[in-house]
Amino acid sequence: MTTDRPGRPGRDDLACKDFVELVTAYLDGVLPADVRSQVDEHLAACDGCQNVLAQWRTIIDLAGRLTEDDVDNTDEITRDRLISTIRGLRRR
Amino acid sequence: MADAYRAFLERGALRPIVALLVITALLLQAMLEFGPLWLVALGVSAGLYGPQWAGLMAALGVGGLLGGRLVLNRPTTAVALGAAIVACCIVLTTSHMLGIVVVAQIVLVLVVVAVSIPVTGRLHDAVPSTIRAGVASGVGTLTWLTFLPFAFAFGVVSDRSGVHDGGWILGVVAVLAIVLLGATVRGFVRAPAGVSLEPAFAADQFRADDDPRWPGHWVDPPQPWEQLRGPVDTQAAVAEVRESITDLPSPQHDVIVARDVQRRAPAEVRDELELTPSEERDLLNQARGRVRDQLDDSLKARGA
Repeated sequence: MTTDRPGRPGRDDLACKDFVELVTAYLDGVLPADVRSQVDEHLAACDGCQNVLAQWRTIIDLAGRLTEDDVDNTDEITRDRLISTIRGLRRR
Repeated sequence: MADAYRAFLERGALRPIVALLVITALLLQAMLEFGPLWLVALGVSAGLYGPQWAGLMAALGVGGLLGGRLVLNRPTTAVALGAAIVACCIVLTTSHMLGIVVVAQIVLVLVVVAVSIPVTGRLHDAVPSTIRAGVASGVGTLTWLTFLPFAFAFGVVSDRSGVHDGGWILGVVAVLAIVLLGATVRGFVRAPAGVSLEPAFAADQFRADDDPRWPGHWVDPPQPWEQLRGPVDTQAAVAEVRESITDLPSPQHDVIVARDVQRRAPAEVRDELELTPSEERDLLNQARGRVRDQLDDSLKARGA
């Protein structure tokens, strides 16, 4: 592989836009061996993708500090329907 | 308000979802309003009205609990739930045994509430946050507008032929529910309305495929976060991640919560959400990508 600019891989390498779609599979360790070695080669030469990988790990770490209740997304539509039902019952 | 009306009237995925929500609300309201009429028709003692009502109230809670865990992404699941609704309605039109009638009412309320929870989630995902409250209000109004003639028709039939014959109107509504469930259920995970399965990074962050020097590589390579604002280890960063995950649409939200918050194994998550391995990884990658974007923007803003 040739690296013709610092922080950028060579032109025949795996493209960065393809790497970012494989980050989770790479971290899960489910990539086929040939693809994994291609990714490893790419990472060795690409600062931007190394940073993305580090950021992915940071997000996983930060998310792990949360609880399920912290990220509950029960929405206003559900709330409105529940409130409407409860109000209907209270009228009785 | 105009946007909310447009979202309602536009052809597409929203109509069957709204119609299904109205139908489920009709069935639920019919049981709460007219359920005791079956007991009147059967001539049971007044002391039995309390347990029947308690059963309906309990079904609201249990149905909500089940609905939170229900994943409606298979036609077979939709058909099974629809069949349960229809079966309950048939029992209500044919049976004169108190216990069976009350159980049918309780099961009907339970299933209807359970179905309405994920369908409501689908509506949530189908509309942008700016018009979500307006659409929710519109669905509520439409439900009551539909319930008024429904209640009138039910009352007329019940008055003339008895409440059991009135139950046939519930049966017609239940069949409509099956049709709408079938139309709505496909794509609950794979292509939720308004939530396109976008790549984790926007296309304009990469050079074009025909770029003579670095096709498909970064236009501006991402910078390490530590250079922007010291170690990314602060409560502010945790709060930003929490907000990002909370705002995610349901398929991505469900997967990232299961994987990164609850730290559950991929196979377990796939089984529970009924996803293929590639769907699960794609949704998780998208979710992490969106969280990364928001945190990146926030750190850049704070570091600027």
